[in-house]
Amino acid sequence: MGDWNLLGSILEEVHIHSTIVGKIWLTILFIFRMLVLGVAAEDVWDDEQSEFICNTEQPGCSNICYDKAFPISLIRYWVLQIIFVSSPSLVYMGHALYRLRALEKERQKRKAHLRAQLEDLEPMPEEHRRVERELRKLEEQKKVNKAPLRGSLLRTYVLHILTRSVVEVGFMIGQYLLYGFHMSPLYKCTRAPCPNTVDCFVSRPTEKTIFMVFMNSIAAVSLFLNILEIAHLGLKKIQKSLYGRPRRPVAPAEEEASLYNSKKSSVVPPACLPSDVSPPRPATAPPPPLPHAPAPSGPPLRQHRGELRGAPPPRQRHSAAQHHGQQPPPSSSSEEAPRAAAAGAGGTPGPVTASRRAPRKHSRVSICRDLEEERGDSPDSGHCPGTRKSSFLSRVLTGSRAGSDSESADSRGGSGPGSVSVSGSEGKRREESSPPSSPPPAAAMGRRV
Amino acid sequence: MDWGALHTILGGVNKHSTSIGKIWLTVLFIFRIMILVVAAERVWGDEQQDFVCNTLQPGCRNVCYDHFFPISHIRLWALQLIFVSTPALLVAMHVAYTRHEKKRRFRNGEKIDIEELKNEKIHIRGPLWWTYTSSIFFRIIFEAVFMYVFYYMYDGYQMPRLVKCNAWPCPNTVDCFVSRPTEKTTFTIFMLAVSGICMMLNLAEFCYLVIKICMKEPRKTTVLK
Repeated sequence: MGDWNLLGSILEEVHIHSTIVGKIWLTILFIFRMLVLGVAAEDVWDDEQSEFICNTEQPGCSNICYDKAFPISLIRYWVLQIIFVSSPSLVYMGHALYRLRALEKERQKRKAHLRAQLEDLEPMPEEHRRVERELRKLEEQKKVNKAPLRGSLLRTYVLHILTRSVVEVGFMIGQYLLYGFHMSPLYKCTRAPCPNTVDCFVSRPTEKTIFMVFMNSIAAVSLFLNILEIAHLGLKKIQKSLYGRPRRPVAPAEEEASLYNSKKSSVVPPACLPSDVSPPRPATAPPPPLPHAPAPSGPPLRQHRGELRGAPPPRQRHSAAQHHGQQPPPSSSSEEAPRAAAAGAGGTPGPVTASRRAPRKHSRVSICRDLEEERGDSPDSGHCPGTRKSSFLSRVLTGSRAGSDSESADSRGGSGPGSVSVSGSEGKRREESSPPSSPPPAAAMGRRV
Repeated sequence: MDWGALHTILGGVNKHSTSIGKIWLTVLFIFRIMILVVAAERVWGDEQQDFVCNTLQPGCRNVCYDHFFPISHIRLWALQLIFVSTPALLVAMHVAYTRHEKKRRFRNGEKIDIEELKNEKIHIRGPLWWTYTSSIFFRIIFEAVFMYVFYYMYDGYQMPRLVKCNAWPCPNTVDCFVSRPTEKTTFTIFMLAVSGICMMLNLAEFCYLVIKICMKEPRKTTVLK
């Protein structure tokens, strides 16, 4: 049946950005629907009208009765069904490609920023080294081929599966209403100009019935796969929230934030507060001279903050010192991070000039929201869960080491970026040990710019 | 009908389009060209053979068919798609010309950023903006014209079941019956709907470009001040 190549090539692109179940669904679409339609079913319906014989000599009666019996030929109906069922995937693919492009852009921006920093920070060797390391890491990263299934992309994905299911059900119901499940050999026609009632005989009714049942069952299987995929994604999300709950006996927002912060490979500031973008600066306490141990997942976050601002927010240190003894490290980072977000977003002294404050604030809000979404939603099912686990484990295991490092770094003095960044880079290094997780952290970092 | 050539040509245009332009191109290929080739051509395939007239008069059927279907829907749609896709070629030509000019200047020794040349992402500014906008304008015009032609030629968008014909050599008035009228009506309305969607996308893109350039102008003047 004509040229399916175009749709086929586009759907192959969709294949790359799908989960496992999505790939199975696409394969079924290709093989059991498109191929069967083109290679087999088409020939069965080929002589549909020429062999539709009516028991009359009245000219035009056959045409009219055929038109009444088959308002739309099943072949064309199935073609429309395939196209409409594939369309949501195109929307999702568009979004995934857009996300991919955004990630790549952030990476490039980050590289450019680091290069600029490199030139600025010539005199300070440790800063220079750190920036060089980051730049090297960014350059070594491979270009991301598949956008991570998080945040708004995950929402689009779920929405597209739901739309697909609804369209599928709609078409199945439509087919039932039009033709039922069975093609009867005899059709009685009473439309003008046919005289009275005329018997008309359908060509190949049994073969057509077989194909109708076959295509219906394939549609049902596709529908089942859609439901399975939604259940799979939903189950993962439930698992995540359940898994995190018993381990941390603290406030749900924080523990969820800390859980996601530690579990996620990308560096995400937990519980970013979009409304809290510009808290009053005077409200923060004067910086206490307390060294403290930021969380293992905290350091990369801190590094961001430190890079963008002069000194780490005093409230952050204060709260960290308070919480350090009470809670396990990831929680403390989550505790600090919102405050960091809040305090830092208000604009700070240091290398960042006031002119940059407004756009940065805005970007941070959107970043926070975006990253929070990413963190909050269930992760991609087909995207290296093992890698995330290893990064989570490594972070947990080396938590104390990070704490001591940052402590010594912080105690070096109020040169915020330097002290924070050392610990941050170490935390980041651990993170980057799992290669597939590296694009998100870099992307997250890149977005900070 | 081989639409592959059009696909290769327009695929290049995709790179230099706005997002709306890319959506338009996808809709064009999937919902119009593909439907045309894969489904609609079959529906109209036996258009003349199964056009039955209630007469034994030789030639009457041919004449009646010709009278009621001066140009088949399929051919009209093919023409519409070609006309609607052609303005995009203007953009492609302009981009190719720009790039050729850049290369020429680079070869002549002028300092040009190699990164930019290699990058290939050409922003819609200046003369390219005019080319692009006028291409969208022509697209809209062509769509509207063809939609009107369909309406005018076939007296609306519904395919009648029975047409009464009294063209010579048919004796008096003859009943003629169209093949698959319901299916044809379904596809006609479907293609009309997709044309409408494409036209709206073009309008949106046009407005977006105009607004973009209007927003740039005041900023430029304020900076100069």
